[in-house]
Amino acid sequence: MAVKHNNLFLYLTLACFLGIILIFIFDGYMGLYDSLKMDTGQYRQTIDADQWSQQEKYGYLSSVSVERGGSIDFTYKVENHRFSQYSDAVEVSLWHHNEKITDIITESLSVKSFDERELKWSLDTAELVPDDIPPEQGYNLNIVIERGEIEREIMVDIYSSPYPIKSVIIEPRD
Amino acid sequence: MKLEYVLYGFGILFCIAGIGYLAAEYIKYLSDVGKIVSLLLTVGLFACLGKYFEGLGW
Repeated sequence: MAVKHNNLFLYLTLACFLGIILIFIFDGYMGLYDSLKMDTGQYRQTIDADQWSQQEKYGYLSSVSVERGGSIDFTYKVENHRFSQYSDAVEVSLWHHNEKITDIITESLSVKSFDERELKWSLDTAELVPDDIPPEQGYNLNIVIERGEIEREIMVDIYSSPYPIKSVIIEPRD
Repeated sequence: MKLEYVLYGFGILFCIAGIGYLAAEYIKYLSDVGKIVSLLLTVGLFACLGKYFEGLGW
């Protein structure tokens, strides 16, 4: 009887272990995840799936900073960890103070089951900052990624160089 | 009997390593309910394991 009772705890241990594994597989791994990589040439930054949910929860925006005149390479990745294919329209647009400046990408995205797709685009800040903005002044833009009913937003902070290049004339010594 | 204990030891180590790997990789994707249920199951797992070894006379 004692042996049977003891085996019961062993079986309960195994049941708990299997339960944890199943939770991690079906609640953690299975699903649809998107991430965004931003590369300014100097810094690389990634916004993962959990950061999007934190943003929705606390209502803040992720941002990327780039020097005026620089460019940023974006890679938006959608991972489909499901048994069915995923298809939806993706729209990437550029905004400034609730005013749409331009559409960057508009296409239909289709990801096979347990596969991933990437969308890439670049922003050249030299073309985006209006001419009437003085060189010493910063400028902000927002990138909005709409995928079906899901909307992701990132702020692009364009800053002027704190150390502008100055030409200094060195007089030759006699 | 001693060989059994060695095998149990390996089994426990693999269990802990497996849970540790899954926790490190996928805990960020778990929902709040999934996290709390996983925590309760982990507590239950070690409690049952403790009772099992207590029954063995450890």
